[in-house]
Amino acid sequence: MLDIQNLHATVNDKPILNGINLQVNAGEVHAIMGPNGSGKSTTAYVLAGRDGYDVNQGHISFEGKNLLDMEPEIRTRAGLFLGFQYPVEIPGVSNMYMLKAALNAIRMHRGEGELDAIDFLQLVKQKARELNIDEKFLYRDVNVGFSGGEKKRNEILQMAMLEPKLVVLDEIDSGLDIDALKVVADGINALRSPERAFVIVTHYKRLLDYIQPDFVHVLSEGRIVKSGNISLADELEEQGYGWIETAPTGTDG
Amino acid sequence: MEMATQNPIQHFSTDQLNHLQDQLNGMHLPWLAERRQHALSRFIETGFPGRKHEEWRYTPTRDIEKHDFKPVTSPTLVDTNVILKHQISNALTLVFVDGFFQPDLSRIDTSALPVTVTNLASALDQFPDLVETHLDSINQNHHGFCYLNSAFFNDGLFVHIPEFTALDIPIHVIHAGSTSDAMISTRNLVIAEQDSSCHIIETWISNDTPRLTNSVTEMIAADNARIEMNNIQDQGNNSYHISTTWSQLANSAQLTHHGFNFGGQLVRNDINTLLGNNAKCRHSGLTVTRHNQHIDNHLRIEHLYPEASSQVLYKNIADDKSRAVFQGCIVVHKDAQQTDSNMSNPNLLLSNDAIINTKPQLQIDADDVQCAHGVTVGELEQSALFFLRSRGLDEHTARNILTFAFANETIQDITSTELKSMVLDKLLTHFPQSAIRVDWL
Ligand SMILES: Nc1ncnc2c1ncn2[C@@H]1O[C@H](COP(=O)(O)OP(=O)(O)OP(=O)(O)O)[C@@H](O)[C@H]1O
Ligand SMILES: [Mg+2]
Repeated sequence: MLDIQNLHATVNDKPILNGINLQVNAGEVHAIMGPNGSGKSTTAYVLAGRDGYDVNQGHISFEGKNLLDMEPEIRTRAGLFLGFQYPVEIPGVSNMYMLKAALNAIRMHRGEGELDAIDFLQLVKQKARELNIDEKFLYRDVNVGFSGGEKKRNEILQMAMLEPKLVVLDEIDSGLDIDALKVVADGINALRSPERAFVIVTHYKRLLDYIQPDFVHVLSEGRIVKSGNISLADELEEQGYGWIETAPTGTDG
Repeated sequence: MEMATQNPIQHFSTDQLNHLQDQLNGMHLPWLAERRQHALSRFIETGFPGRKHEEWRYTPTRDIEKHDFKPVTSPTLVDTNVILKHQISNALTLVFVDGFFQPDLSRIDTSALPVTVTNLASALDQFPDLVETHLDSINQNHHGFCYLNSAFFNDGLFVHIPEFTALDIPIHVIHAGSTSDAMISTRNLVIAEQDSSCHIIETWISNDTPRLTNSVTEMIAADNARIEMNNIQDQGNNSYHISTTWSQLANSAQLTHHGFNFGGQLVRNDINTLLGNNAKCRHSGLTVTRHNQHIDNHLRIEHLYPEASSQVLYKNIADDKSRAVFQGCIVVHKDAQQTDSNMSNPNLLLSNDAIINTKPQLQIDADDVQCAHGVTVGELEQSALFFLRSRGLDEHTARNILTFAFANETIQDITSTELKSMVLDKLLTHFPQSAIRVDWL
């Protein structure tokens, strides 16, 4: 589904990603861990197509198409979803409006036609209930005045509404209390299917315990330096990153 | 008599000017005739405010001088459907075309109501003493356009709400017009007696012929009175519009004033509010400029007595090669202790060629006050644009949604739902190909 080949990227002419290779197949869940500043969010932004993140080498294909040729909205309509590490506040735009505009843009792209107001309301309320999100958050401006954890749950609500094929979640677990973490993990698990894949950036093993990823990768200085299964996350929890960073590079995904 | 270098009435001799004045409503009243003559000579002395005039620094009046705008003696009738489209249901409606009152298009039956809502010309006939006492009682004729208005105003709105009376239905004044090169001077007088309240909406529309509308409004709120005023200025793109509003609030009186400016080539709104003891005013506005429009909002709020509060929120959105100007001055006089004042002026620049000029000012002569002001000038937030695109919205729609969101706060302030949706619709016409769906809001 996703094939990242030798990805090099710069931000403000500063090299951040230095040759990432990662293959993600439908049905798989990949976790990416790694020290602060190693390039995890940069990878996520490059995938989503944010301005200012310049790819100067390498290739990314998404379902056989060149992802880097697509505008951000086209990537999303094609099935990519990025859950932000720092969700953006948008004063003056209600959550409900944003969700409706987003869902309908994607449905139009899929040729499904707009959802009518009643069906939409029913759908969004149901999803909100499943994620333990109070209905009143739907009517508030996007993320404005939301607590850290509320913002993260709101990202998961957007994911659940848009039903993407490839979900990239950047530190969706940071700032969540223990119960919210469980709710978010359940939300992710509920979406798991043989047609869908996940790339989950996290610092903590707890989320991975709920999700049981198929692969765990360690990103360091803009490269994947180690890949393994969930037991790698256990090792990292115990020993930190020091022992890996000195290890030889060049592991594949 | 020596004429100022150039003015819209330069082509008229003094005799002709006097003759034009003679045709105005109310000239049978000696006090009014005298005031008009005095104002005319003052105007001829001062001319228009020029660049040297600090308060007019950003808004040159040259273009107005260059045009030969002339007082009109009769209106050119406009398409009634255009006017009907702007009407608000259940309102007392007064329609003026080129400044002339149109009884057939108006709807001001107040026979069942203990209030007076009529055109100023009728009030001059029916209640000359009341008008004489209040007219020009707070208008300080502080620049040439005010003199010009005082010299030539012919009609306008007259409202008198007796004490302890609440007029629940809105009063809606629609100014339309289409006479080319017309100079239209209108005058409004609103008197709200003790513990009374009223709600006024003023809509300005016109076609694309060049014209000058020069309006002066006086609103007098006695103790505990409440006035809400909504101005929607949406004239054609060759309109020059100068509007001066004077409001005086007595003890514990309240004023809510919304100013929405979408149309016009050059627009200047002067808003002056004088606050009594414990009085409250809230001024909010939205200005959207495009092409080469120039819209200037100029506020001056004077805290004269203790414990009054003033809240100002004026937003500007400037696109293309347009210019939006905001000047806001809060004056806190020596005795005005415990003043509470907040002025905010967020600006959104949508184009590199657009210009925003903003000048907030505080003049404080009291020591126990709370005054804050904030100005921001920015473009659309990149992170928000990316966020919306990452949710599947195309860039054009994302920009429109964010621009709309910026403006929306000022619209949500409107109390009448019908007016709110009217202003909303108007704003949405600025986003022609947009996917902003009003039925989703
Ligand atoms: N706009 C920018 N300008 C300059 N440097 C940047 C910019 N954005 C990111 N960087 C740098 O790129 C590097 C990688 O940042 P990135 O956000 O991808 O790290 P991360 O792995 O997500 O870290 P964390 O775990 O703290 O979220 C950091 O050194 C960061 O300072
Ligand atoms: Mg990060």
